[in-house]
This record gives sequence, C-alpha cells and structure tokens, in this order.
Amino acid sequence: MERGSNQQERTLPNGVATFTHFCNDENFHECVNYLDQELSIYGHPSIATDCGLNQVALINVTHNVLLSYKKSLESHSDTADMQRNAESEMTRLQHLLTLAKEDLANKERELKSKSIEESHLNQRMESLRKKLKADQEKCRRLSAELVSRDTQFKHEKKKKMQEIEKMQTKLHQLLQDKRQDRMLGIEILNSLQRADGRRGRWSTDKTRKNNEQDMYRLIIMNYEDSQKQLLKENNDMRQYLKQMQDELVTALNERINHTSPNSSKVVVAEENEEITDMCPEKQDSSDLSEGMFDMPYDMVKEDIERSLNSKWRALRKEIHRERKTSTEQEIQSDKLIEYQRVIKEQQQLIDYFTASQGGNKETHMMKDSYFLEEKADLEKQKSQFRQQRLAFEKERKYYTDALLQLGQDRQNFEEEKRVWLQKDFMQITPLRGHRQTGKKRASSSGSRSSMRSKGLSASWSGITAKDFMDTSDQESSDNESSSFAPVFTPNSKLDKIYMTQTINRSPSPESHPLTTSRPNSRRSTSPSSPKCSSRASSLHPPTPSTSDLYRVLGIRFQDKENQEQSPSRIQDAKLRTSKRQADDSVAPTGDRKRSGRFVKVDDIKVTLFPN
Amino acid sequence: MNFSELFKQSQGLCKFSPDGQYLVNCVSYKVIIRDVETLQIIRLYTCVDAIQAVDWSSDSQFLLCAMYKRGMCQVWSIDQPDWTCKIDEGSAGLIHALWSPDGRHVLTAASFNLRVTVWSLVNKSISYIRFVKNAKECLSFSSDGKYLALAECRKCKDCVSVFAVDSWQLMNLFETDTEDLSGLKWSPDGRVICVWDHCLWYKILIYTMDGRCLSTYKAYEWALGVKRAVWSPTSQFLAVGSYDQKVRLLNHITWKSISEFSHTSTVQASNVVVYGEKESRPEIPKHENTNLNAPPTIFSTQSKYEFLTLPVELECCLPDPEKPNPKIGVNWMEFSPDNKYLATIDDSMRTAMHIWSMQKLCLFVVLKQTSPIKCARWDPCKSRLALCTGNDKIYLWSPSGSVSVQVPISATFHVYSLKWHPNGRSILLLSKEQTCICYLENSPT
Repeated sequence: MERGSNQQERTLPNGVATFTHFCNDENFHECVNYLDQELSIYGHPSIATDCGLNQVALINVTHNVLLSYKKSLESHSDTADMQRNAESEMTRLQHLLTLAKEDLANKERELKSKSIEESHLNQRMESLRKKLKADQEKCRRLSAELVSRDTQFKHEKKKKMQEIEKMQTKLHQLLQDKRQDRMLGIEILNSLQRADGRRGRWSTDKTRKNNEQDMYRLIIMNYEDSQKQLLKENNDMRQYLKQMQDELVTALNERINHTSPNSSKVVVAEENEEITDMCPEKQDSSDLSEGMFDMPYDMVKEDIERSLNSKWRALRKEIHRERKTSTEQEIQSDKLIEYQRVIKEQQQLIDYFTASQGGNKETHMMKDSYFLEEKADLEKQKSQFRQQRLAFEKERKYYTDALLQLGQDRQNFEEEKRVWLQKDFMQITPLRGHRQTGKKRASSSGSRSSMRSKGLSASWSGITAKDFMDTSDQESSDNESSSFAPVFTPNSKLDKIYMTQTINRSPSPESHPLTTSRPNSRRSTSPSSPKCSSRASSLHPPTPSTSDLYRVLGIRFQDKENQEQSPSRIQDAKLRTSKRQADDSVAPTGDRKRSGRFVKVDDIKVTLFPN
Repeated sequence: MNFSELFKQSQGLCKFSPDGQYLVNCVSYKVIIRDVETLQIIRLYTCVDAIQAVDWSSDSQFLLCAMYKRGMCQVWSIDQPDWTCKIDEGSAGLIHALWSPDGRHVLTAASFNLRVTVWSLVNKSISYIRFVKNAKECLSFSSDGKYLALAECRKCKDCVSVFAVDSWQLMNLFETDTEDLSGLKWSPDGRVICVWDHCLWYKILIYTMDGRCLSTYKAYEWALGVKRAVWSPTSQFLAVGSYDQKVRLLNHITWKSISEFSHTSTVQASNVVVYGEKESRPEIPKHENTNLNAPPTIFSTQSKYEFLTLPVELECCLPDPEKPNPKIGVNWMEFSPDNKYLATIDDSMRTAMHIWSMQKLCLFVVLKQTSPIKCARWDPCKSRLALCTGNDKIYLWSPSGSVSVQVPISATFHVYSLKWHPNGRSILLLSKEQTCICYLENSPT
C-alpha cells in the first residue's frame, strides 16, 4: 500500500513530491478527484460525489482494493515460488547439462583414443599383413631356392660321382698295371680243392647257360613253392569258410526249431518275419554245396558273400533279441524259482497230511466233506454278518442325526432360558425401560460376553467386531442354504460363533488337523488328542448349554467306550458337531431325522466320516 | 651256470666256429684256436701284423684274418697247420674281408669301395667287381650260398647285380628305383632281395632275383627314414626300423605294413610286463683287514629285476637336431629263432630293451636296465635273449622270466659283447681285453 502510495506521490499531476502526506486539508478535493480518476481508470465505482466524498463507496472501493491487493500479493508470492522453483529447476538442469557436457567430452575423448588405438591396430595389422605377405613370399622364394639348390646339389653330386668313377677307373687301371709287374697279390702254398670235391670248370657259354638255367629254375621253384604255400593257405581258408557256414546254418536252424514250438503269441509275428528272413538262407545253405567253396572264387563270391551276410544279419538280430529278452528271462526264472519253492512246500504239506492220516482214503474224503460243510456254514454266517453290519450302519446314521438334533434342541433351549433369565434380570434392574428394542441384540450379546468373561475374557478380547460380523454372515448364509435353518433362532447364531471360536482357540498345531476333514485323524485316538481335549476343556467357558450336552454325551460315552478315551471323544464330538454344521450347510443331505433319543458317540464317528 | 677261466683277447676278436667245435681268439698278431669242449689250444698261428678282423669259413676248416692297416689277409687251415695263404690288396688298401659261402673264395673290398676282389683259393684266380656302393651293407649272399647280390652304382644310377657264386658269373643286373641305395639283404628263403634307400628318403623295395620289383613301400616322406631292415628267420616278416622310433612290419605276401611298433618313453599298454633292473650296493665293511681275504665280487653291486607297475617312464635322451646322424630311431632289431618275438633297441633309449610278441603284434616285455645296453643276442635255438650293459653282469630273458647273473670270475671283468655257441648251451663273454665262456647248462662232464 505504501509502495503504491509512494508511486502515487511520484506521479502526482502537479509533479510535487510530498513524502509526508499525500492528502491534507488543502488538496482534499483534488486528491479525491485524483483518486476517483485513478480508481475509475482501474474500473472502480466513483467515490466522489458532487458534494464530496462518498464514504460508503470509498469503503467499498477500499475493500475492493484491499482484496485485489491481497490477491495480487498471493499471486505474487505464487509467482515468486514458481520462479524459485523454476530457478532451482534451471540450476539443476544446468548442472545436469554441465554433467552431460562433461560426459560428452569424456566420451569424445574416449572415442578419440579408441579411434587412435584402432588406427594403431590397423596399422599394426597392415604391417603384420605385409610381414606375412613378405614371409610367404620369402617362403616361396626359399622353397624355390631349395628346389633349385637340391637340383644343383644333385647335379654336382652326379658330376662328382662321375669324377670319382673316372678316378676309380684310372686307379684301378694303374693298380692293375702295377700288379702286372709284381705278380699276383695272392701267395698260397698249394691250391685247395673245392669244398664239394669237384674240379673247377672252364667258364664256357655252356656253363653260362647252365648257370642261367639254374637260376631260372630256382626262381621258378621259388614261385612254385610260394604258390603251393598260397594254395594251401587258400584251401585252409576255404575249408574254414565252409565250416563256418555249416556251423552258422546249424546254429540258426537249431534256433528256429527251438523257438518255434514254445514261442508265445506275442513274438509270433517277429518270429515269422525272421523265419521268412531265414528261409532263403536255408535254400542258400542247400545251394552252397560243398563244391561251391571249391569253385573259382570270383564266380561264387557274390553268392557266398550274400548268404554269409544274411546269416550274420539274422544272427545279429537274434543276439539283439536275446539281449532284450534276457532281463525278462531273469524275471521269469526268479518267478519259476518262487513257484518251485511254493510247490515244494505244498508237496511237503501234502506229504505231512497224508502221513498223519495214515493214508486212509475214506477219512480223507470225510474230512473233505466236513470242510465243505464248514465252508458253507461260514459263507452263510458271513452273509448274515454283512446284513447285520448294514443294519448297524443305518442305525448309526439315525443316531448321529438324532444327536445333532438333540444338540440343536439343547441349544435352543439354552437360548430360550438365557433370554428368559435376561428378561428376568432386566426386570430387576433400575435401567429397565431405557433399552430400546433395536439395540436389544447387541446389548444382550455384550452382557452375555461379560457373563462369560469370567473364564476367558483375555481370549475373547482378541476377537473383533468384524470377526463377529464375518463369521455370523457366513453362518447365516450357510444356514440359509441348510435344511436346518428354521430351527435356529437369531440368538443361536452367536452361540455358533462362540463354538467356532472355541475351535479356533484350541491348541493350534496339534488340533489344527482335527479341524480339517481328515478321517484318519478324527478316527484315531492320537496321542495329541487327549492333551488338546484337556486344554480345550480348561479353556472352555462354563456355558450351561454345551457343557450340559457334553456331560450328557460323556455319560453316554463312558457307558459305551473305554474310560480313558472319553475326554478325547468328547472333544472330537464337539468338534464334529460344529464341523458337521458347516458340512451340512455345504452339502446338505436330505434324510435327516430329528429324534429325542440320545446318541452313541461312536456312532457319530462312523456316520460323519464314512469310508 | 658255470664260467670258464679268462683268456686274453684283443679288439673283441673271439669267435666260435660255425660247427661249434672250435673257438678262436686273437691276441694282437697271434691266432689261438681252441677246442670248445676242453678249451685246449689246438693251433697257434702268428700273423704278420695285429689282426683286426677274423672270420671262419662256412665249413669251419679255414680262418681268415684281416689286417686292414697293412692291407693284407692271411688264411689259416685247421687241418693243415703248415698250409699258408697270404692275400695282399696292395696299394689299393683293404677295408673289408669276408669268406664266400663256399669257403674257397675270399672277398676283399679295397679302399673307397674301389672294387671288390674275389680271390679263389682253388685256382688262385682273381676277379674284380667294380662300382660297388658299399662293401659292408650292399653285399649279401643268399642263404643257400649260391648267389651274391651286390649293389652298384653305374653312371650315377643304382643297380643290383646278382652273381652265381660257384662261377662268379654275373647272372643279372637291374636298376633300382632309389635315390641313393644304402643297403640290401637277401631274404632267408632266398626268394627276394630287400633294398632300402638312404635315410633321406624312406623307401623299401622288394626285388626278385630276376629284377622284378614286387613292392615299393613308403611310410612317410621328407623326414629321416629307414635306419635298418631285418628279415624274420622264416622270411614272413620284414621289420623296418626308422628314425621316427617305429618299427614297421611288412608281410611277405602283400608286402604291406601289418603293424607299427612305436617306441615311446612311457610304457602304458596294460598287458606289458616291465622288468626293471635294480642295483643295490653292499655296505662297505668297517675294518679294512677283513676286506683283504674276501673275494672281490663281494664289493661289486648286486642287481636284480623287479616288476614295475605301469605306466613306466623310460630313460630317454633326445638328440641334438643340429648334429648329423641323430641318435634316435630303431637301429638294432633281431627276431627270435622261433619267429615269436622281436627284440628292438631305440637309440634314444639305450637302456631299454623292447620285446614284441609277433603272434599278438604288441609290446610284450620291456627290460629297463640301469645302464645302456652294449650288446644283445638271441639264443640260436630258443626264445632266450642274452644282453650285457658293460658291467660285470649278463642278463637273460625268456618268456618265463628274466634274470641277471653276476660273472663271478673277476670284479673287473666287464661284459661288452657276447656271442652264443651255435648249440645255444654256452655264451662267449667278451670284455675289452679278456674273454670267458659261460656254460648255461651244467654239463655231465
């Protein structure tokens, strides 16, 4: 405002800047006019009248101005905030930008270094390639050189050898010339006879021819010898081949003879196939007579090869099959041993009996007839027993239903009693009449809980209203589908909730399986069941309704069952009843009969969890 | 096992005669011929110079003594002590001398393989065979003694000439397909001649007497090739040892390789028996006085064979590739007389003797010695191998087991070479200057 006024002051029409007061008595009207003008410029109603200042208008205008000032202030602060935000954002972005720039610079540097490296590597590669090329060239040159040198060397060698030869000839001639002068190099006392005693012969053309003939004779003899040897070997081989062929044929034929009689139907097809495979072999074997193997081999080669190949194939197939069936055979042999053992035992027993009976055939026969009679009796009894058992089971079912009905009746009764008692109590209390009918139910449940909280206030506190609602809702919906629905009064729901709670509160790890519908755990008197039952009973609130029922049941129990099993049975029964209600709601069975009779507990067990 | 007393000898010149009756040992220029049974001196001859080689004629009647330095040979007769024969090669020089199989001709090779001279002792005739490649390796008589095959080099081409021994007539001359023929060997049955090329070219060629090439075998190229080729006694196998430490067996029908025996430094095959020689030195006695009376053999090392568990690492020294004739590859091979086993020694593993079974064509036994094997020979009658390593022991192997025997005569008698008597009952043991006979069976005398 002040700033505005200062501005006003600075822009006064008369140009006089008075810092002390904008308006005084003297310039009042001018100021009013000025203000009016100014305000009218900003779109405000006029504050000046003919007679002077319009106070109301002034107030209104002032108010408006104030409002607009406030608004402008707000917007100013907003814009300032925005600006600050924008500034900070900008600085952040600038920071980011610098970072990015740095990053970019780094990357560029890296790129440069990499490119330099790459170029280096390229250069190196180039140099290596050049080197390789050079080396290859060198290698080629060297190998060519080597070859040329080798040829040169060979040539030189040849030349040298020729020279040596020449020299040797020369030397030889020289030596010989020398020897001519010096007589022979051998000094011998007297000549020896030949080792074979023959005299030396002149070397004539005849002896030369004889020698040659001898040589060729020897060569031919050598060839003959080697041919004989080969022939013998060949003969042996042929013999062996024939023998092998025969053995193969006999082996395969034996197999066919063996397998065909006792081959089961499963393998018949396979067998047939094989036998058909082998049929040509049979023919072949007859074809390949003994002479076959002495024929020129190139003529019979194909036949022999074919027949042998087919035989080998058959044999291989056979071996394969054998290997496959070997395990089966093992199993069968095991079985066979077992059977043999059984047969032996039976034989022993028979022997024993015949020995003990002294071999009397008539008594034996009589005995047999007795046995038959006995057996018939037994059969009869058995059928009777079966019928009885069926009847029992039916009865058991009825009893279970009746028990359930009884429990419900009892509950109803208890509820009625409670309501009655409550009513009685209400009549006694001074608060009577304040209770509204709409809140009756809630209060009654609260009072009931307070009554029961003697025993288990702590455990009840854990249950929220929601829990109540949920369970009750569920129960109600269940009950709607149940055939039992009309039996329950609204109050009975609470009782049921309570029961479910007791189930939930029973010791969790041991008792949890009990709540699941497992027949074994229910039926068995597991070691954990007595414990949990006892704990459940300790936690159990002293409700008159259920405890009475249990007591009744317990009595019945003890009448029927062993004493030590009873607590667990009670617990079981309790659980089952509650469970049953749920089960019924899920899968309602039509043939429920209500009856006033007491129920045997062991019947419940059977009926509820039939096998 | 008995041992004879020691005799003097020089340069390992000591030999049983082919008929097994005589034993010759040369001491410098003296030739001493003994009876094998009694070891009594039968003949004593004196040569003109120190003897460098001695050879029995095939009928055991004559003895050829070569004195290479002097370029002379002398022949002595067992039956006629007065008979003399002197062969002088003269200025041509002498590098090799041997008997022809008939025992009436002497072949001598002149220096530089200038020529092979055939001296007849029957009619004093002289024949020259020229252009011989190598008088030691390239000269082979057929086993029946009728023919001589000789490799020649005529006009820079390798060829083989076949001579009939009784008339020294050239029967056949054929060129061979070799670069530089380095050896030939007649097969024991006399049917074929095996020819092998220089080690620079792996090549084995089989020729018949009339010059037909039956087969050419090349295992590989470029690397150093054949080192030695050996025929089996039945001529059914030709074992070719090469520089790649392998022995390849060629069969006598198709002349193809039927098996390769490689000599590796680790023996891993599961069914190989490896005998390892283990030496144990006796403790040195404390008091010197007691030593003097004790026999000298006590102080030598004891050794015995032990079964080694596989895998076994054999001592192997790889040769320097810079040097020529690298000491690697199979250079010694010998078939047992019954053709069942092949014994081989690789030059890079001189301490190991490989014995291969010819029936199963696999390595059968390895004898791992503590020192390099100097000499090994098969018993000429049985599958029994004797070997020595230059110490005072001999080692015997047979399929039933292996044993090391100490020569009890003298602690300083180190066996460098051994030779079997033709009947296989005794072995001649040679040290550098002495010799003795080891009798394997206790003779009834």
